[in-house]
Amino acid sequence: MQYTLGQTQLDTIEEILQSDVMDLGVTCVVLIDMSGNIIAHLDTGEIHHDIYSLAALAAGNFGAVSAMAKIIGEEEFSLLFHKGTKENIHFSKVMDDFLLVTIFGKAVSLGFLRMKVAEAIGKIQNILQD
Amino acid sequence: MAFVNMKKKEIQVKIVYYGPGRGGKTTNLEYIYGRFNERIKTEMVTIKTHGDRTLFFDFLPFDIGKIKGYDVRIQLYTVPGQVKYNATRRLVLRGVDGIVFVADSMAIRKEKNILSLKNLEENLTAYKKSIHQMPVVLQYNKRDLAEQGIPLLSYETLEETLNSKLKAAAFPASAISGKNVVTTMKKIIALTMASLEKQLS
Amino acid sequence: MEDQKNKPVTAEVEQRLDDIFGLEDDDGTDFMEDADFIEEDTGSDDPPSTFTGSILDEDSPLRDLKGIVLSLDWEITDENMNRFLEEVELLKIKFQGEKIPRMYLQILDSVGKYIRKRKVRSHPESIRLLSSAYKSFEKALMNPETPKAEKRKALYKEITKLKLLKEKIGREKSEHIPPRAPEEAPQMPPTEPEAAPPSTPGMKAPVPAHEAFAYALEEIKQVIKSEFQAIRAELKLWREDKQ
Repeated sequence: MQYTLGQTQLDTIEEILQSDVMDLGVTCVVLIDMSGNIIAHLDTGEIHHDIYSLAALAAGNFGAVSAMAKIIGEEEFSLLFHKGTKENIHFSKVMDDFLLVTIFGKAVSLGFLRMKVAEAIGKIQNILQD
Repeated sequence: MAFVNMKKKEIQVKIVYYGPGRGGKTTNLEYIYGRFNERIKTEMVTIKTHGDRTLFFDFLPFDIGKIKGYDVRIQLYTVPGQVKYNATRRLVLRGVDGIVFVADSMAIRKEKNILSLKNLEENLTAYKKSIHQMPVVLQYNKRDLAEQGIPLLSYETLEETLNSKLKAAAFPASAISGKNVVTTMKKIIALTMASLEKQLS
Repeated sequence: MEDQKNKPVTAEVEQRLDDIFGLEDDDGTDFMEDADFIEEDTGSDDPPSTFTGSILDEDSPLRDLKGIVLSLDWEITDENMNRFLEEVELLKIKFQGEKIPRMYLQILDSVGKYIRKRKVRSHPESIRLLSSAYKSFEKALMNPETPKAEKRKALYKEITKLKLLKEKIGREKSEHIPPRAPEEAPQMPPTEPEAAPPSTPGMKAPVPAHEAFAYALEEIKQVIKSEFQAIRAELKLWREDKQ
């Protein structure tokens, strides 16, 4: 599936990610494609993670986990989340071709984040399908 | 498919080093990283087993600056060569723009080279791609082993068994010492960028 | 034609690569001089208030509530929130005569109802408050030896957080719709901070029965008052929509 995203679409996606996800107090949010390329990236400005490698690994990781799901007879897993001592990372699929990766600390509740991410994804999907 | 960000004027190009297990794919990247670390200023990511075999992939990204107004970022990947990691190889091949096939020159690896090339073609088919329509460069690695008296396949034999239909650029090499590593890389990047320009216009 | 078109890009790329990686790469021509070896087969090819057990014990009053609160950490759904509020109601009955637990449960009830109602529109701090209020409640209950004054202090801390949150929500809401009256009355019924005095070390004697009754009555009045306010505001909105 080939996508071409115009500037307006990208701007809108960034706005959604800012208001629905970043404003919760998360550290960083990245929208990537399944090859590991970064489409949009927002962070607090205080972190200096190597997001290119993160994106490559996230895509690889997600791909591997999806393959595992199929092996055990699942279509896909509904929660992909890694818990750290200070920072955590959450993955959510956006249609079949994209992945939303969120890095967040203790101040943000996972349950609440999942709700907000689901909403943001719904909006992003509308943009991508236009 | 190369990723083009019109807004930021960035192009990301994915090049995958493919080939049989222990053929020298990772060594190629390690050489580039070790030699040009200061200049390219990015880190190499490797996901290996305890036995130093690639488990998932190796990843080395670097920028080559502006080409025709676009910032070009090259992403070199390797795949795990062992037969059992086919699912992973397929994952890593997703969105590939150019391929380096690293063949093992050792005589005993003749069959493995052929099988690996066949495997590459099959995995590309899964993405509705054909090796004949992609930028490809062949590398016949481990030529240095001749000095140690290890039987190697001749250049001609390798050409015949691997390149008779592809007719791609092919370089004998020694990844461990760096011979033709950079030549191979430059060639695949150039071919891929040319192909990309064709596609974009 | 195409060749000419491609040439500039390839040339630019090649020049750039040479700049970065230099011209010093060996062309490896010496490999072409390898002797033709015969292909030999050499065979070598990673858990009332004076409960003293563990919170997870079967007879621990907070066992079920803790389980639900933990599940809310992972996922917030209508089902979870309903279970939470049901459990809070049960515990309210269980801790009927006990002021501090009742106050905590009142906080949890208010915040829980707000989150259930507002769902994804909930203020993020409300979830944090739910979690911290529960933790504070658990601590108070599971540590009977802690002096009551200290427990009241901890409780008051949570009540203050609740007050501040309500103010924040009210402020943010009025910022969004300046000219009109706020769309909804405060979602959370007040939890009578005035009725719960701040920690006063002098208050060690148990509250007389008639005072406790008056206090409980006041509690009920406040809850009814705020529920009516909320209903009135919703009716108003509904009427406005219909116009």
